[in-house]
This record gives sequence, structure tokens and C-alpha cells, in this order.
Amino acid sequence: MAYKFVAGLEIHVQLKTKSKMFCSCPTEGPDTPNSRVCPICLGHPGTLPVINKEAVLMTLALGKAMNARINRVSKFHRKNYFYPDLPKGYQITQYDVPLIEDGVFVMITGKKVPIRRIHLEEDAAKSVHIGSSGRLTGSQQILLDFNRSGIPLAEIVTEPVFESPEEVAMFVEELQATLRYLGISDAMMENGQLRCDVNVSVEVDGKEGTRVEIKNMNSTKAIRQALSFEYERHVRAYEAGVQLQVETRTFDEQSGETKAMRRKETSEDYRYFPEPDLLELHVTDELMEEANKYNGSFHEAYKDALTWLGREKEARALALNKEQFSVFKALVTKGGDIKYVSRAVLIELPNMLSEEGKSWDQLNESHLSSIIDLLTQGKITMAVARELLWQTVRGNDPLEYARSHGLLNAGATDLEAVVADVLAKNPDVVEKYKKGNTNVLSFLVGQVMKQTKGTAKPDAVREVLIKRLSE
Amino acid sequence: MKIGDIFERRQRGELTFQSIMELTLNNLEKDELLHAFLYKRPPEELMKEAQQADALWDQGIRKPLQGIPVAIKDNICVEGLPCTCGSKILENYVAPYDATVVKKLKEAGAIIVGKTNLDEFAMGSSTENSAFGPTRNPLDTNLVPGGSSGGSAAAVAAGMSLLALGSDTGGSVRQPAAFTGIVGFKPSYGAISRYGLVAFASSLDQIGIFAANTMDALLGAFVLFGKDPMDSTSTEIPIGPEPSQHNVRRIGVIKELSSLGLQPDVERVYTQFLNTLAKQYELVEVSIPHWEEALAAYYFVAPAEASANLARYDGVRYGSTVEANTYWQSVRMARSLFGDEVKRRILLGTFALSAGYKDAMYDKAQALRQWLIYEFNEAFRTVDIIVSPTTPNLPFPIGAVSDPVEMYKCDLFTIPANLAYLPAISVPAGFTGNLPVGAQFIAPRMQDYKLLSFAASLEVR
Ligand SMILES: [Zn+2]
Repeated sequence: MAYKFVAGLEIHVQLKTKSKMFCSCPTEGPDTPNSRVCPICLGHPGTLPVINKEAVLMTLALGKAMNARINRVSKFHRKNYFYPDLPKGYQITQYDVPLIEDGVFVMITGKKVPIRRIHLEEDAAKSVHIGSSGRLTGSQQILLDFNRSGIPLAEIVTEPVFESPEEVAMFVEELQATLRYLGISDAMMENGQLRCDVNVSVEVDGKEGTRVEIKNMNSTKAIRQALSFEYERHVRAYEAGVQLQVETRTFDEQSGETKAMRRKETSEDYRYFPEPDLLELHVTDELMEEANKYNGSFHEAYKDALTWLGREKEARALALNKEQFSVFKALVTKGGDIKYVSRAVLIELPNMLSEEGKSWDQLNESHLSSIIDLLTQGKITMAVARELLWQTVRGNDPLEYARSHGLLNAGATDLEAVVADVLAKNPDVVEKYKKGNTNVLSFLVGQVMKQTKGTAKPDAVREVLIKRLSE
Repeated sequence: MKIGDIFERRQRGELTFQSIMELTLNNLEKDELLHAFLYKRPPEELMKEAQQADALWDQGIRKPLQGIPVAIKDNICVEGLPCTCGSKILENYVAPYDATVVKKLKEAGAIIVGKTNLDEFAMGSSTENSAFGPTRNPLDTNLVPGGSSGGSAAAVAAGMSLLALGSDTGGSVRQPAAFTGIVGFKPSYGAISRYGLVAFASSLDQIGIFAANTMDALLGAFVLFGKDPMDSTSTEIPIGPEPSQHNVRRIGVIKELSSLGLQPDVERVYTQFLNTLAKQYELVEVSIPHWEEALAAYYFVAPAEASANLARYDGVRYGSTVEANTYWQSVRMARSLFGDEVKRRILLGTFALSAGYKDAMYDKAQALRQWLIYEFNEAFRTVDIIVSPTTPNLPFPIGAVSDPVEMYKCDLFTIPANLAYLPAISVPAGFTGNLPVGAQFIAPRMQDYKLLSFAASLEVR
């Protein structure tokens, strides 16, 4: 039998607005539970929602990035259900007319992923279930934190076109990067800024398989694991002739397995109806224009990276990391030699950062580019540059450090003087060289290097020595 | 005494705001029997605020409602005061914020006397559905004051406040105004912010004003009108004309009403009222063919929205909490605190929105609503304003109407204005014995000032 993995995604992205979707509470701030709440996001009686314009702009920007159709008039609906984390007993979301429809996301591999829709909605409170495996039923206590209640969410729905777990993971990585370059979400899966639900099925000899929804994957690694596990589970079931259930499953990171969470209630009825507290959302030309302020592009970054690095895999890896890419770009723009910048940014800095427990955004780009300046002006050697990278990672000003530690190259005339001095001090060695023992040259280079405290470039020293010795 | 007269007499030194408040406090003693209020602010506080109003006046400061005692229906939030909505489920709820209308009243110098009784969550036409007992009609304490804003109507009718706020989803301001012989105004949808009004049916709810006369209602409306950034559905309405320049010439009398079963006494007083009007204005018959069906549409749309609006009362975050073993049990127990009428409407609304029924009920009702709007637009091509009785019946004895559908019929004349987003006002049309009959005027949307000015001009004559 021939098996084929099929998956479609529903991705919730927390937008990086200053205030919440329908009230003015800040989205960021102290993590003290229930410290960023107001009567509106707590669902107090009498309160009304007001649409956050910035969330609309961000979603428009995402729609534009995916070449999607933007509905100039869209609507909000109420999705009705009871759950302790849902303060109003309904979620305000978009239903029949979402803000964005029919887009395409082009992956680096060239695969075109059709985006069915992107709509705006509000997040629910965060709930912690105590005394059960993260589920409401059977838990002893439910702790609710409404700081998350009302955070703007963009829900992105793809067509079911993914053909492998790896492809899903790669899409999510590239989507994360896209959101970060646009500046509309930090899209971290670990803390729920990006939540990916995957609808998986396995086709058997071209026949549609049983569809299962997988939730709670907190990293792209978890996506790879969960979907591979699920694929194998389905194949095993078909081989054994066991009937699979249409259900929602949760990924357990510990065991690397997916576990049944709940049966899909096919009759789930959310009794959607138009939100009477909001007018239709009209996207004016002005809003379309204003959305252009979110314009960073992962795909552009990838193109740059490919020019620099030549190889697709490396270019993709660099472009996926927005901060690393930004450092790379700054140094190249500054005139840094690609080879050196590659070594510094792709190998040395990542090691140094991890050793120092620091992140890319803690690096001072102007400090880094001053190292490039020194290098291109021939004032420092590679060895010194490496030392200065360390200093930069530790938060020191590399130029300052080089000056105070006498690490700056003394310059050509000084080098001549040092060479003359070394030759004068070692007449016997000069004699040996002149007799044809060129091996002693390295000794002389070493002496010069010692006198210049390593600031001279070995190549230049060698060159000057040979010139003087042949006179 | 009109509020305008109070200011004139205050200016001449013939009275003080403290004397007005003393009078109000005297009248408030009647509340022992009437039960118009669910919460009354302490008299010392009220007197202190009246004193401050006097002091400010003496300093030359003039505010549009300075020192005027107002009552607030107990489904409108006043920061720090209870807001029970007449329901057990919010028995212990204290509002953490001011409704926009309350903010505006405070800024205008009004003194909030207390929170008034209502049918639970404004669902009812008699104020008998309050979890805390009915309100009595000040004109005859055996009778209901109407509802759902019966407490606010009784407060103004008994002089316990000069103005009162109510909410009108299907007639809950106009009908009790008619039952207590005062003026009740429901503005165009969006003319007054709903922020802080506990929602019953969001697309129909409007905060309305009770007053002893139309000039006072006009003054109150002037203070409360305006777009509010906290209510996306609110809107600015054009100001004017003055009462003397309302420009109303042709008044529409609705053809279909003759068949709708007016009580004979109501019909007699109403006919006399029309005859008086006919001396000044041209009465023209207009047709609103879907008037009666509007009642049916209303009883799908309003409960549907209510079923969602009332979902938040789960006993988790505020209001009455219950001891329960599981979340679902807590939800069930907390929500069993709702009264029968509220439960009935939540069930009806949930049903109307359910898959398989939504098309035939909710969607069809919304379509009917569009028809109604169209028919009003057509009618207003030939007339400036439309007149009808406010209610088909007279105030009835407490406990006399037990069939919910009979009760729903009280709103037969008031509901269409809510469905069509139109401004409407009930004014006293006359008496039969000691019982008042109200007449309702309906104007095109956003022509609230015209409506109020016209109604005020009737009083002048
Ligand atoms: Zn908030």
C-alpha cells in the first residue's frame, strides 16, 4: 500500500500591539497574574469592545506579505461556548467574512502554500489546571490569569498541502521569521505567542484517511516529532486494519507521543451571530497605506543571505534568525569581507554568545562595525579581531579596549623600524639566512611579532623582512 | 416644577438646591411603600452634594444639571454602587466603573440619588420580575408601574428624583412612562452611549430618559447625547431645531393599529388626543404592514442576543459565587439563580441561534427587521412624525398578568422603534379615571431633537 502524509495548519499568532484587541490594557508588562486587566477584558457587565486599529494594520501587513485578498469590509461574530478562561461566554472573532482571504506563502523550497484565510480575534485567559494532566475534567483547581485575555490574535488557516512533518516544521519556521521581520509578532512557540494546530491524515493508495487534530506542540522540533509519530501511528493502524478515531490529540514532549484528548464532537455548535457591539470593519485606503509601515521581509533577507553565502541551506539558516541576519548585514554593509564576516557571525559570535549566555539583541552593532573598520584599515590582525569580538560580546567597547591594551597595529613605518631593530640585534641569524637557510625567517618574524605585541600582520612582517634581507 | 424654572428661581434666591434635595428626601419616604429603589444613597451624602451645588452656584458656576437629583436604573453602572440588574446572580456585585452616561451626569452637576428597581436584566413589562420584589405605581399602589424600568418611572412620578435613566430594549422606558403619567424618551440607536449599560439585547438596547415634562427630557438628552469612544455603535446626532421651530406639519397615523386590540378606555382617550392634534396638524394615514410581525421578530432577535450577553454570568469572576465541586457544576448552580423569565429568554435565544433553526428564526427575524426599516423609511416620505398609543392597555394590578405572551403584548406599540433604530417618546395623552394613557411619537432616525422639540411644543400649548 502507498501512504501519503497530508496536513493543514491552523496557526494562532499573538500580535505585538501595545494594547489588547478590544480594550486599552497593555499587552506587555509585569507577569504578576491578573495585573493587566480591566472591566472590559474581564467581561464585566456593561462593558463594550472597541477594535484595536494597530492589530488591524498588522494583519493587513501580513495579508499583503502573502499576496492575499483584503476584504475592504469584514465582520466580527460572537462564538458562543462556556469555558472558565472565556470571560464573556463568547469569543469575539471573525467568521464568514474574515479580514484576509486567499493568500499564498512561498516557501524557500519554492513550494506554494495556499493561505485560506487570516482573521482577527481575541485570546482567552491563561488557565493552569492543578491536579490533572492539563485538562479541565478531573482537575482539583483551575488558576486563571486574565493578562492574556483579550490579546489580539491573528488566526492563519492554510490549505491541507503539507506532505511531510519536515515540510510543516519548515513552513512554521519561515512563518515565524516572516512575522518577526514584519515586526508584528515575536512568534515564540515556547511561550504561546505562536500556537500551531495541525490537521493530519494519511492517504492510503490515494484514498483520504481519518483526520486527526494535533495540539500543544511548543517548538518546531516538537512538530517534527509529533507529526512523525502520528504518521507512523496511522500507517500502523492501516497495516493492522484498526479503525482510527476522528479526534483531537495532544503532544506529550516527555514521551514524544501524541495522546487522545477528546473526541471531535461533530455537532459542536458555536451559535455564531454578528457581534452587535461592533460595526463592520471598513479598510480604507488610508489604512492600507498605513499598514505599509510593517514592511520587513524574510524573503528579501533570504535573497541577501543567498548572495553572500551562495548555499541555500546556509542562507536560509541565516535569514531565519533575524538578529543574526541583521548583524551580518550591518557588517557587510560596513565593507566587511564576506569571508571574515561569515566566520565572525556564523561561527565565532554564536559560540561566544552561548558561552557568555547572551543573545544577539544584546550585541552593539556599532561596536561590531568598529572592528570591521579596524580590520579593513589594517590596524588589527585577525587574532586581535577575535579578542575584540570577545570584548564586544562581554559588553566592552572594542576600540577603547584595543587602544588601552596597545593592540592597534603600529603602522608601516613603525614596522620598518622594528624590523631594522630585530635585524640589528640578530646578526648571526641574518648571516644564516643570507647563506641560504631561509628556515630562520620564521624566527625573525616571531621576534618582530613579539616586539609589536602581536599587532603586526604576519604577512606584512614577512614581506618587510624579505625585502630588507635581500638588500 | 421644570428644571429650567428651578434654575430661574435659584437665581432669584427663591430656593436652594438644598431645599430641592430636602423635598426629594421627603418624597423618598414614600419609597417604603413604592419600592422604586434597590439602593438609596445616604441622605447626609445627598445633602452634602446639594450644599456643594449651592456653593458652586454662589461662586458663579453653572452646570446644565447642577444640583438636580437623578435616579439610575440598576442595570447602569455607577462606580462604587451596587448594580444588581434586579437579579440574584448580581446581588453582591458592585460596579467598578462609571457608565458613560453616569460620567456625563456627574460632570453636568447632577446628584445621583440611588439605583432603581427593574425587571431582572430588563426583561419584563411590569417590574414584577425583579428578584427583590415589585415596584408599585405611585398613581395607584395596587397597580404595576410598567417595566422594565418601573423603578425609574415611579421615582420621577413620585418626585423622588427630577430625572431618571432607564433602558429601553422594546419599550422599557416608554411603557412605564405611560403607566405612571410622565414622559419617557428613547433616543435613536447610538445617540446615547451604551457603555456601562448592562446588555440585554445589544442591537436594541438604548438608555432612555424619564422626566416629568418634555423640556426636562430635552435637557437630559442634551447632556447625554454624543459619540463615545467606548461605544463603537454610538454616533453624533445633529443638534436642533429649537422647540419653537420643529417644523412638524404632517403626522402619520398607523393604519394597521386599528386591528390590534386596544383596550376601550385607552382607545377613547387616544382618539380624543388625536382629535386635539388634528386641530393643529394634518393627520395622514400611513402603513407599516409588518408592525405586528415585528413583535415576533423581536422575540427572536432580543433573546438571541441576550443568550450571549448573559453567558458571562458563570459565578467565576464576580457576582454571586456558589460552592461547587466542578466548574460545570458551578456554572449550573450560579445560573440557576436567574429568574424564570430570564431563563425562558436564554433558552429561546439559544434555540433561535442553534444550527438547523437559525435560518428559520434568527436570520428570518433579521430580514423582517430590514423590511420594517424600509417600511418606516417609506412612511417618513409622506409624514414628519408618526403617532400611536404607547401601550394597548392600562396599568394592571400587581400579579394580574401571569401569561408571558400576554405580558409581551404590552410592548406591541413600542417594539418597532427599537427594531428600526428610531427615536420615540411617550407623553401623557390624558386620563381615564385616575389612570394615565400615553401617546407615542416616533421620528426618523437621528431626528431626536426634532422629536423632543415637537413633543415639548405640545406641552407649551
Ligand atoms: Zn483590559
